Amino acid sequence: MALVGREWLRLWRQPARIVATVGTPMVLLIALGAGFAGSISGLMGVGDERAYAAFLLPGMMAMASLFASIFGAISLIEDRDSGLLLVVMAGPAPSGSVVMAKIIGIGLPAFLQALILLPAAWILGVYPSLTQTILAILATLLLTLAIVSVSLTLAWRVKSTQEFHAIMNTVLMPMWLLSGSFYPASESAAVMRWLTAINPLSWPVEALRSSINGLASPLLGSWAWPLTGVFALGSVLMAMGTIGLGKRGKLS
Amino acid sequence: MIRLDRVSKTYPNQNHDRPALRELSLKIDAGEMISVIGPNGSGKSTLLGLLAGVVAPTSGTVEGKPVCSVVLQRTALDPLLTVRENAELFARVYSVDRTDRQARLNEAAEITGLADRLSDRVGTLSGGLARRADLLRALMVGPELLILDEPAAGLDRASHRAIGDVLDAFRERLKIAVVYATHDMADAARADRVIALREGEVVAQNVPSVLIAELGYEAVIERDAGLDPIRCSRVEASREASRLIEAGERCTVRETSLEDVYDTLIGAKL
Repeated sequence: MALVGREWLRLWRQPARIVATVGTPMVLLIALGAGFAGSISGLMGVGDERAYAAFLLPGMMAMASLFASIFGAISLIEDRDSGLLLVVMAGPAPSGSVVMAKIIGIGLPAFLQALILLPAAWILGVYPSLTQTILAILATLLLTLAIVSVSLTLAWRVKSTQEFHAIMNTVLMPMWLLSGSFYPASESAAVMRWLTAINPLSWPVEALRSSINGLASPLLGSWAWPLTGVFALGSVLMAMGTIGLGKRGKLS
Repeated sequence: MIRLDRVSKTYPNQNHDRPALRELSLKIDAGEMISVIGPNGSGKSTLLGLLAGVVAPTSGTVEGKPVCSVVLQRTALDPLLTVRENAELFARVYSVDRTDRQARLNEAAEITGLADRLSDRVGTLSGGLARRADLLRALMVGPELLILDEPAAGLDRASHRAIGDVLDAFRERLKIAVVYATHDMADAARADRVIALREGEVVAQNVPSVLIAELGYEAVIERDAGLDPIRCSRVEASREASRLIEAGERCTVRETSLEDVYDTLIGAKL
């Protein structure tokens, strides 16, 4: 818990991180939603001009989670380079619990920063029921767990923050762009449909979208939730395996 | 407290494996202060890593696992947190009882001279104060073994001296074992025992005064550039220096020190 609290304190003392994490998706949601308001309709079960903005919402929540995770994961590189991680891992705490503390410490604020956007669903004319809302919260949680774990694994593997930014631009951002956040993948070209379907980040985005609108995912159908669970669990295990088991060689 | 028996460590390399330590045996007792000297790449940091348990030996055994604290050349603290928050963070990571924390913090702050800087964020401290904050953090976990990798590297003279005083306080007041790597022979001479490493092997291991005595001379006459120094007994040094001065040569006489041990055993001029 001490390490989790430290991550939250760090976030609290860097308010620009919170503003950037929530502000950018909000601006995109408003700009793109309003920009395409007259061009796209009939998405998410919304018949009026708010339809595209409502469609964008899950993708923007994923973006908030992604940004928060990326900013948070950079602290792993800083901790490793400063020796702070070595000092922590020289202690009695099992390496697995140190990794979990990082995941929870970065993940919980990231989850909350994504969840802040959920009430926009009501403003945009989608009225999820209580069950749908709970499922949307669960989908956001799994989405965040997966993204945080992937970000931490990538951060552990790179040598510097500059390299991490390069990875972010070549791996994480394309994953998000191809997650169907901007476009209805089920109605796009076959190659895009396939790329979106095999992109792990699409799975929680589709699960989140189907939770909010109460409709089955047109791209993944009933597979959206099981795939989301596999992605989240697999990512957490990957992070624990990579960072926890790799600690000796990498730190020394 | 901890014993290394014929421990070797080899780092895998693309072209060839690089041995960092070879067949090293070492025993550290409670309350002992040990300095580790040697050129860069001689295996000092690997030895410290083995003692801290963050480097696994390739062969040999490490017996004993004392509660240890590590202080590196760089400050392993969160710059966004205050000195107090950092100290409490590590105390909690090491499961230090809540009631013990405040007492330890008070004692550590007194020893390190940071009692009035506990509420300062580490990122705002000077290099010397940050290093002392790192030592304070190390004390918070109640270590039986304190491992320091060049704790005074890169500090100005006043900060360097302050770190030395803190290390002396560790030994005298807290009775914890301290192992530190250093390139500063005056710092190394503070220890109860000096371990000299060269290319991963221990070339000497003894009390500083014994290592100096084993050189077989007590004084060194430093002469003008280009002329070899003269190594001899104190009595001979006095006589020889007078002769040189009479002959019009400039020279200085000094006591033999650990630097001479280093130059002789490791063969690299500091």
